[in-house]
Formats: sequence, structure tokens, C-alpha cells
Amino acid sequence: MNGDFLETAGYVAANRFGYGPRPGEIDVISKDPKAWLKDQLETIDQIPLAMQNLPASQTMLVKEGAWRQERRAMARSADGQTLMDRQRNNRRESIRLSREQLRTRLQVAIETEQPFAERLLRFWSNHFTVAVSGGQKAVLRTIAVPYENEAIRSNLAADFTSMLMAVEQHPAMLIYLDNDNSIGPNSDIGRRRDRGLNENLAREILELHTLSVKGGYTQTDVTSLAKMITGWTVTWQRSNRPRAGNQNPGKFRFTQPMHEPGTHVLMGKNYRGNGVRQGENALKFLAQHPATARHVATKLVTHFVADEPPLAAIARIENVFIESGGSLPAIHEALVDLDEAWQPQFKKLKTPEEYIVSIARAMSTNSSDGRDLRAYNSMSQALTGFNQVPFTANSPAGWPDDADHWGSPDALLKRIEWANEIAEHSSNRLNPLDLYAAIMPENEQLKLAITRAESRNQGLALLFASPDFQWR
Amino acid sequence: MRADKQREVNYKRRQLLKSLVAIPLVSSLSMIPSLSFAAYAASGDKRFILVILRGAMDGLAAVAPYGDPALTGLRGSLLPAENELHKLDSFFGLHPSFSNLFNLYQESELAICHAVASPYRQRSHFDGQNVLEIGLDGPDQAESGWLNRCVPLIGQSNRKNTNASPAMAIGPAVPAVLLGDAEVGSWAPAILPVPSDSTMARLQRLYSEDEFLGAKLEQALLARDMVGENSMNRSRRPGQNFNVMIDATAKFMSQEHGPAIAVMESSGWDTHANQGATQGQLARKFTELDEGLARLKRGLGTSWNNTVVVVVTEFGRTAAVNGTQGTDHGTAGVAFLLGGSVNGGKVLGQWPGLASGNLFQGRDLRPTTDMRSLFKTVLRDHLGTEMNKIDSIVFPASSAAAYLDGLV
Repeated sequence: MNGDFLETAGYVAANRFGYGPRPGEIDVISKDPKAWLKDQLETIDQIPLAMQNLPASQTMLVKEGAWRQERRAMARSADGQTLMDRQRNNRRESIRLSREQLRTRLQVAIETEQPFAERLLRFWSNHFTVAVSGGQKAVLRTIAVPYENEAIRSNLAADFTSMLMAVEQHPAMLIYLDNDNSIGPNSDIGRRRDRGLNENLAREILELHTLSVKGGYTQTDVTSLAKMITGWTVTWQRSNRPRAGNQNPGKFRFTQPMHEPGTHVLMGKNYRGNGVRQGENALKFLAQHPATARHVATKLVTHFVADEPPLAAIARIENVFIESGGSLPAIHEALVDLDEAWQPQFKKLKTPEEYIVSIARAMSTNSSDGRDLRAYNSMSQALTGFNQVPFTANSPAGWPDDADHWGSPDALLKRIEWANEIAEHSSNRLNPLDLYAAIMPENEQLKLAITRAESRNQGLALLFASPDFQWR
Repeated sequence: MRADKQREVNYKRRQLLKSLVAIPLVSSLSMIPSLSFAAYAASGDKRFILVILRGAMDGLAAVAPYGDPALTGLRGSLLPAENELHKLDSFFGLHPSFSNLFNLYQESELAICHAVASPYRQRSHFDGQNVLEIGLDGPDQAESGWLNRCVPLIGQSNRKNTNASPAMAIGPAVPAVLLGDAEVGSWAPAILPVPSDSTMARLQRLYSEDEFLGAKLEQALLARDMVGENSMNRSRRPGQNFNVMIDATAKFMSQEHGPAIAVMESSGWDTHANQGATQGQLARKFTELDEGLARLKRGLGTSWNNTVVVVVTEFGRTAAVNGTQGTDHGTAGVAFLLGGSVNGGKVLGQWPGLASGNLFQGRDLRPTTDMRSLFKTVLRDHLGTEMNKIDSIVFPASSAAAYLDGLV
């Protein structure tokens, strides 16, 4: 690699593929930026230390199952006040836990030495979005972060088919998109009760997770897939009956009495009734379909390179997807090897989460410092102000990925205000000119503005609120 | 960047630099404008507010065709009792939650269009919303929204003194209907203090060099200048509170130099499970919408007389209940038109009927009015946009969508 390339490549690696540099990191990265990125792929599926003690989704689901049983009993016997008090306490506890989970997740992004791994996790987690809502689905609040680790992170070094299967069989996704209650009209239960098919998950599998709207499926295919995944549900409690299948509560369970019997046709192919394998075979077909490769490649290049993704880059990733059979390590490496990724004229507007984390990294925010622990709280809350609280996207399509959305006039002004607040409160430790030199590529105008600032506070505010700091 | 867009951006940059001198910078001690500002809006300038309900609002629940014999068989458990509906005539009834809308109907300030849909016939939310907002007959056929294309066509006599765009998005992001070459404003509640004048001035100089972000910042400051910092607007959950958005829209639209066009959004309409009937999930959303629109009318004051509000959704929902006491994505639905300028008190459109032979693809309400007809009519008859410009620039290739007479 020549010197000119290395000049900016370090910044490109840190910003495009990471969350921005911590001071001092650019020197390390610049020695071999591509290697720095590819090395991170080795340990990409390891759960970070800080998250290892968080409860698994199964634990939370079993708790929820026990609570639902107790609530039914209480509804019959206890007074309304006691029930309401318990509900309120449960809700408070679940909110407390979810806040802790989100804080830890943010902390990992801020402190990690493998930011590329975290960025890839966010990408796939957004592709397979799960979002929290209330009512019957309130349990999603405390299983969203575990879902991200269990279904997504642990498959980042595997292949797309494995991740797809893990996602569509995870209780979080089944609950989020109403498949846990979807019943085949001709199944045992369907014929006895007045409940039936719900197409929500099947539709989003086709439209969002695999083929995309251009993939050539029809309404009939949606219904067909929905039938094939009836019975894909969650066990809430251990059954008392010894022969019953639900001996492992809080997990995915295939429930034959809910399953629509018979052969179903998807995109012209027959899938014979074969228990859980019927739906699994359909998913495998979808995972390997060329339209899926095209869809995923387009999203990856859009996310990492530009809002208007260069077609040649999409084609390259698509080819790697197809030729490697959807190998995620191969796909992720191919991203690093894209020529376009190293050309600075392609840039993306940072999302609020990316923006907040890049500022925290620039300031070397660190969980071993008491002041910084409070800073983590305020950063988590800042995401509320920016409308990007994790797992609250408005739809299964997840967070948008373009400057038109995140760069509205109002949103931009809010970033500036927030950066200014941060600078006002923390700049005594930091010399903005030194910081500029450590984290930004050469920019005479910005350097001059910082030099001429009235105070260190203002200099720092100018750095973080500058237009150049908004892009990656 | 395209050459014409570059030229436009350069123009904006010069304007921004000029405005550093002309327009006072935002101060953290701005006076809180009181609602008496509404008294200024006697200018006679027409206002248009578009409310987009995202998630496919169930039109058959909102305005039940109780006179249709097939309804009970299809909707059974999801239907309110007939005597709970607000009867509009011998055939249609508003959902019980819509008491304020019912009053507006009786005062001829609400018109309802039933069995209306955009040209889109698939059932993807995202493509459906895209078609609704881009204004063509299929998804992803243009980069700009139809309201953005209107911006250069709006003639406003009292707007010579301001750079602020005549169109605004109320909420944290600009929706696709307002995206395009014309700059538009956006506003959402503030929760942090503004930076000092000195910092803002320095930042504006830095931003003048960034084509994309510089124009955004200018619009934001102009909007902020219009309302000032206001503790009423502080919200711990900006973007979540429908009433805060309603209040802001009312404030902006009732100002003399305020925007002519505003767009608001509401989501949470995708009721696949446990939708409820007289009570329940959907009823709560209806109440929120009903009370919000009433609040909007109050907030607009005399401006209400010059205002048309159109409430739309990307498509309706299935005629029959699904297996989880909800409904799935459908086709035709309902649109509301309200405002002092509306010729209300009627239900527009041809009712296609709910007998199974009349359903679209055997499952959805069949559309008999094109959504674009509503939009085109409002633009021509309320905002005074020239018909040939509407048909060539705003809604090209929309001859299938006829203008409606006597709407406003």
C-alpha cells in the first residue's frame, strides 16, 4: 500500500467501518487498515465481557410465563388493587432491566476495540429488526438485547441461512410478528377454535428478510409460507403432562396441533408436510435465492458505502454471497475489499447512535471512571431525544439508512445542541486542537475555527458539531 | 450532484450568508409566543395540512358501512353495536371513538371519502406509503414527493420577506412526500438549550461549506426563529406525543408568515392482532386521532376557516377478521377531509359493496376513487394551483384520477 492511501485509509477504516477513533487509534490502524478490520472478524461472534452476565431470553420468558399463570390465578381470587400493584411493579422492573441492557450495549460500542464487529452486529440486527411494544408483547422489552446476542451475534461468523433460521425461530421474532399465535385453519386446534392464520411474519420474511418486494413472490406465496410456519411458537411453561412436548419452556417449540397440514406451494415448488422441516426447507430455499443475495448486497453497500450505492459494489458482494453459499465471513471480508469503500467521496451521514458513540469514543469515555458512568446514562437518554432508542423502530423494516431521514433540519439542529451541551460540560480535560489532530483528517477551515474559538468549551463544541463530524 | 440541483444549492448558500446579517440569531431568551398569535392569521392565505397514518388504518372500522348486509358476517367480533356508531346516514356510521369528528360532520366541516386507494395494488406498507407519497402509479418511480413538487408552484403574497420554505414537516424527520429538490423545513420539540450566539455564528460559517447540511441548518434556524424556544414544546419523548405535534402544527399554520403546507404523521395503525371493537387497541388510536384533530381546530383559531386537513393512510385492511382477532393488509380504505374550507357533511365515493363477488381479490374492499383525485382537487380548488401544472408536474400520468367538484 502506498503512503497516500495510508494517509486517509486509517480514518476511513475507523469511521466507515467503525464508530470513529479513540485518540491514538489512528496510528495503530494506519499501519494496515484492512488487516485491522479483517482481524476483528476472527472473534466477531464472541459475547463481550460486559454482556456476559445479562440474563438470557429464556430466563426472561420463563419468568413471564410464571407471571402470566400467577396473574390468571390472581384475576380469579385477589382484589383488583393487588393485581394492579403487581403489574405496575413488574413493569417498573422490566423497564429497569431493559435500561441496564441498553446501557451495557452502548458501553460496549463505546469501549470496544472491535468496532467493526459491533457495526456488523447493528447492521444485521436492523435487517432482522425486532421492536418493543406494549400490551401482550411487553416481554419484548427484556428479550430484545438477548435476542440480538443469541440469534444475530452468535451467527456472525456462520452463514446467512443459519442466521435466518436462528432469527425466525427465536421467540422474540415469533412474538414481535405475531407468529406465536398463528394457527392453521385445518390444524387440530384450528378446526376446534375460532382462531386462524396470521400472515405478518411470513410477509416480512419474504419482503424484508430475504427476497425483497422485487423478488417475484405473490400474495399466494405469502399465505403459503404463513401456513408452513404455523406451529412455530414459544413455550411459556413446562407442561404437567409428561408426554407433552413443552419440557423446555422459554424457547422455540414446534407445535403440531397448530400446524396447517398438507403440501404447500412456494414460488412454484412443493413442500410436503414434514413437521417443522417443511418451514425450514422453505427458509433454506429463500436464503439461497439469488434475489436474496441481491437484496442483502444492496443493503450492505448502502449501509457502509453510500445512500446511492455504486452498482459495481453491489454486484461484487452479490457474487460473493452466491459463490460462497452465503458465508458471512466471506461477505464481510468482501466489504473490506471493495475499492469504493476506500474512496472518500462516498460517505454516509452518521445515524444518531453512530454520532453519539463517535463523540464518546473521541472523548475516551470509560466505564471505570465514575463521572463517565453518569455520562453513559445521559447518552442513553440522548438517543430518546434523537428518536433512535434501540429496538423501537416504527416498523419491521428497522431504522432508515439515509441522510434524507436522519439529516432533517430539526434533527441536525438537535445534534448541534447536544454536542454543544456535551462540550460545555466536559471540555476542561480536553484540548480541542489536540483532539482534532488525533481524530480528524486534515481540514484547514475547521482547524482555524477551533484555533479562533473563544474558549476550550467552544472549540470542542465546534469540533463535534462541525459538518465534517456528521459524516462517516 | 445534478447540475440544476447544484445551482439551487449555490443559491441557497448565498441566501444563507446574506441571512447571517439579516435574520437575528436565535437567542436562548426568546420570548415565548403566546397563542394570541393566532389573531394575526387573517391574511386569507390558504393552508393545507396532510396527516399520514402509517400502518394501514382500518377504514371499515373507522367508518362502518352498517347498511351493507355482508358486514356482520365479515367483521362479527370486531364490530361495535349498531346503536353505538355515530350514524352519518342510513348506511355509514363513524366509530364510537370519533365524537369530535361526528360534530364536525354535522357542522359540514368534515367530508369522508370511502373506498379510496392510491393506484398501488400490492400490500407492502413501505411500497404503499411510497406510492402515496411520491404520487405516481408504482413504487420508486421518482426521487421526489408530490408535495415537494408543489413547493415552487405555491404563490404566497405575504412570503416575500422570508427564506423559510412554504412547506414544513412536523416531526423529527422529513417524510418522503416532502423530499425532493425544494428545501422544506422541519420541526420537532426541543429538549436542550440552544448554543450561544457566538457558537452558532461560527457553526453557520462552517456549515456554509457543506452543500447538503448547510441548507438543512438554514431551514432549522428559520423555523426555530418562528416559534422561539418554548417550554410548552419540551417533551421527554419528542416524536411520540401526537398532541405536541398537533399544537406545533397549529402554531406554525396560524402565523402570518407561517408555512402554507404542513405534514404530520402518526403510526401504530397496523392492527394484525386483537384489534378490538368499541374498545381496544384501535379504538384508542381513533380516540387519539379524534381528540388531536379537535385540538388542531382549536389551535388554528380563525385560520381554520382557510384550512383543509386531509387524513390518509397507505391502504385499508382485509374485509374479514383474521385468525388473531385482527385484520391483515388490504386495499381500499377511508380518507378524511376536514377544515373550514371543506364542503362537509357527506360521504364521497361509490360504495362497491362487501358481497364476496364485489371484494377485490376476494378479500379486500374494492377501490372506487383514486386517492390522487382528492389531492389534485385540494391543490386546484383550495391552494389555487393551475390544473395543467398539477397534471404535468405534481401528478403526471394521473388522468385516471379525475378532479372532484364541490369538495372545497
